[in-house]
Amino acid sequence: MSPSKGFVLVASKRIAFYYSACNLMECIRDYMPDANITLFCSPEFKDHRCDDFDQVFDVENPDFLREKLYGMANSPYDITMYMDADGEVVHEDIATVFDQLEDCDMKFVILKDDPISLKSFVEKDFQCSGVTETMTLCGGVCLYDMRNPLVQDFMQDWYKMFWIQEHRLNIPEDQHWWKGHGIKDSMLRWDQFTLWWLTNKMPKYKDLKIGEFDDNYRWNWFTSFRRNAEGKYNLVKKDPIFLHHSSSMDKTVDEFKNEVKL
Amino acid sequence: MKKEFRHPFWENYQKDRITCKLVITHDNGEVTSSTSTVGKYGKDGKITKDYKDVIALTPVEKIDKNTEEREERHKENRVADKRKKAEREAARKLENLFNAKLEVFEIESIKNSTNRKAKAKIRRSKNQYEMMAYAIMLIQEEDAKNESK
Repeated sequence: MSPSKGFVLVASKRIAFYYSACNLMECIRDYMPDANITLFCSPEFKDHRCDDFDQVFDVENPDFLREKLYGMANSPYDITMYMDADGEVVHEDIATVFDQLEDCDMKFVILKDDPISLKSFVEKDFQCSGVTETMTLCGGVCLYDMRNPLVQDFMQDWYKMFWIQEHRLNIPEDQHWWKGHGIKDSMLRWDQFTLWWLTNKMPKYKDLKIGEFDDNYRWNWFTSFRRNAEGKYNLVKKDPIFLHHSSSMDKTVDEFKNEVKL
Repeated sequence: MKKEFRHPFWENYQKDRITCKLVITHDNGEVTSSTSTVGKYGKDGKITKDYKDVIALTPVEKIDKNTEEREERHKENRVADKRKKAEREAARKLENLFNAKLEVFEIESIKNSTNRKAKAKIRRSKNQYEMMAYAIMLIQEEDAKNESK
């Protein structure tokens, strides 16, 4: 039997993410009319547009901003493409996404070039046990194979470990898994840090095959990335597939619900 | 007190004014520095001592070279600044367009419309004017549909 394939989008805490998730779902369908798309969202956000998703699940903690990790860990698909909700698909090559996985367990966009202005990823270098380390995997999009139990564990751990990070003030210190490594407190804001830990510090996951998307940045092109001298998209062979607006998406969009009725 | 003129360059094309960093070591050992302008001629029309001191330490050819390098550096900075500004502007436009599209899709008649083609045109609009035009067309179409019911 061929594996099920689909997209997972998540919208929690702010209704702006719900609006953009609905838009993203429509963008995907513009190029892939039959795509399976599942939404995880805060129950209070739901409206008739939920009917256009294949499945809609409530997130576990509606007020938690990183419920994306819950959605990723609970994907109903064998091969899952997770995308941050605050972006848009702008190229037909999205239709090739599930061919990207090849023989890998997971694929990420890898942040590896200095010429990029990483406004939204400013704290990429950090100290761990006195050694300078760099976060390179970007969690904005992720293609992964849930048929591998190790990938399932990985996603569950990502959620649980980040939950401890976020709620560290109310969680006993003996559960602070980063303790004793001299990690700066500000690093604990980032789920990318948890991702770095999982992929670099946990022997359990050392055999996971993690790869990079073909033409890397096309799959997660932040609008804050630097352009080339001609003003065109930089560091990509073809135009981006996914434009990511996370650095300045208008999160105050929550208020326009009552303002735009004509 | 000891005066030292560092990194001198010509301030004008007549080459009779020099800008440099003036480092003064005071008698008490304290060191202060400031940007200083050294004129070639004093009020009496004679070449000033400061100018002679600068030239003694840094030959005219070296000051010429400093001046050229500085101009080149500033030119490069201007180009880089212009490019950064254009990048910021391009990013801002994309962000604004995206936010505007999200707002448009919250307009009741557009939100409730089942016209996928028209909605896709709004989504793929390259600027706010195009987006507005398609949004208006769809609103009119939906209004007409509602009126005929």
